Amino acid sequence: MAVICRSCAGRLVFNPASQALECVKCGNSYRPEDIEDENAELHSKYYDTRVYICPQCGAEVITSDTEVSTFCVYCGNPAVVFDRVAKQYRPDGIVPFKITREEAAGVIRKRFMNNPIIPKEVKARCVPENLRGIYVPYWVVNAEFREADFLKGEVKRGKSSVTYYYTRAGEVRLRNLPIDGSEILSDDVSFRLEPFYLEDARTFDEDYLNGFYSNTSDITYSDLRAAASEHCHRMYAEEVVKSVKANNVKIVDSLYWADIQDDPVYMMMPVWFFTFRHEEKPYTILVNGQTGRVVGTMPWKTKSVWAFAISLFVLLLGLIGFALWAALGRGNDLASVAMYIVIAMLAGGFALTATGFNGIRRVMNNLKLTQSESMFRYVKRRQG
Amino acid sequence: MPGSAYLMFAVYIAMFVFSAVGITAFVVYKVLDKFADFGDTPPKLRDYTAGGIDYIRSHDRVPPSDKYHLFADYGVNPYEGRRHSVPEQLVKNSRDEGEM
Repeated sequence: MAVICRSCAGRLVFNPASQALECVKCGNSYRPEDIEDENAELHSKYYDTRVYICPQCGAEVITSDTEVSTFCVYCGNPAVVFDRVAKQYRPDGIVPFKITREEAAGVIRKRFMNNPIIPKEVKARCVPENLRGIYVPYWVVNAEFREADFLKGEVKRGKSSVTYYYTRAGEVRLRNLPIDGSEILSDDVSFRLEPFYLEDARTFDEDYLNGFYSNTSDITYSDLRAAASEHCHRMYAEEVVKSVKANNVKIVDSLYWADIQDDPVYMMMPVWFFTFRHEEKPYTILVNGQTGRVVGTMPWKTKSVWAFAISLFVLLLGLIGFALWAALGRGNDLASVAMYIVIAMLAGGFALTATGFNGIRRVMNNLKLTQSESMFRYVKRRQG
Repeated sequence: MPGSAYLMFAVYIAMFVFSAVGITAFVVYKVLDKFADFGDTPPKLRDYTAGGIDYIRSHDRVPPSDKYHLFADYGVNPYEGRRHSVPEQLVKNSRDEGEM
């Protein structure tokens, strides 16, 4: 593997902005595909990596041959221990980083930093130096998928609603479906990182790894099949619900299977990891290194949010009380207007309760996923 | 006030409180969703398929017992027994986990 500059023997690092390997000393640049591999035959099946172990979370941090890891990209622990040099199976392809470290930090700052509920110390940590680029292993598969669903929905009949039942069974063929091949990254998180566009994919060349971390696929074939089934089911379920002409449609029961066609493609996908600790809890915000899509939930100032909620609650109670007092206390036009306000607020409150609480629950679930310890509960969550 | 009036008063108060809690929860959810949570538009089926779903059964307004007919007809893995070539990396991982 060629990783040093031909001019000055400096270390070469892949620059997403120029899509070239650049020397950290003299700035010379090289296209990865132009660099000859002196051990091409030996490397046809494998490539060399350095493996570090995080004593805190147990994760394996893998770097290219010359890169040195200084901290765990998954939990933020600054003391990772070098374990071994290892040969890894060579992936079939790679989608190189397109978003630079500075751009990734900028995307996060733009999304999270200019708002009042993020703690200041978290904002201060979002600098490029705290982001690490990792090539995450994916399997790109073609699959056949079948699902049978028993659904229910509500149909308006006059002033009341009637519940009806529906059956659906269907098949679908999917192409180039990316399935996360790493146990460390939760499927829920990797699902939200999509899409990755394969138009940018190149034949794997370890020179693209220079300057980044990588991870090898550690799932089994049955894991892959189960993850593919689950991935297909999520997308299929959304569509099948839309096929029912009723309100509040829900899947009561379902069965589904996926069949992965021959020759899944082993790919490396680019992801920026912003890992930090806040109030003793680890957080990982991810940025798709190809598209710049941000995935994660930032910690917020709990006291500020509670203060806001209580103030709003008291204000609403006051408003409803005042409107009711106005409605009952006067026999003029103002009374009827106030009564409308009372009715509207009551109706609004009842209608928004479920949405509000379900939404908060969803945000809390996403927050748990962002707290990276949950990434390690992968095995329990994966279905199949 | 007679007892029924107290009861009505309590019911009204409960409705107002419930309503205010609902609106508050919704607004708090919107604030957290906008300011703290990102990346919640998952991929769609159409991103990976040209033809969409090919329905082999699509019945509306069926009796609840139809569930058993549905799963009797379509509750078996249609791909059972199919064999495929498995990439070496996945074979190695299975071996490491003692599956093979």
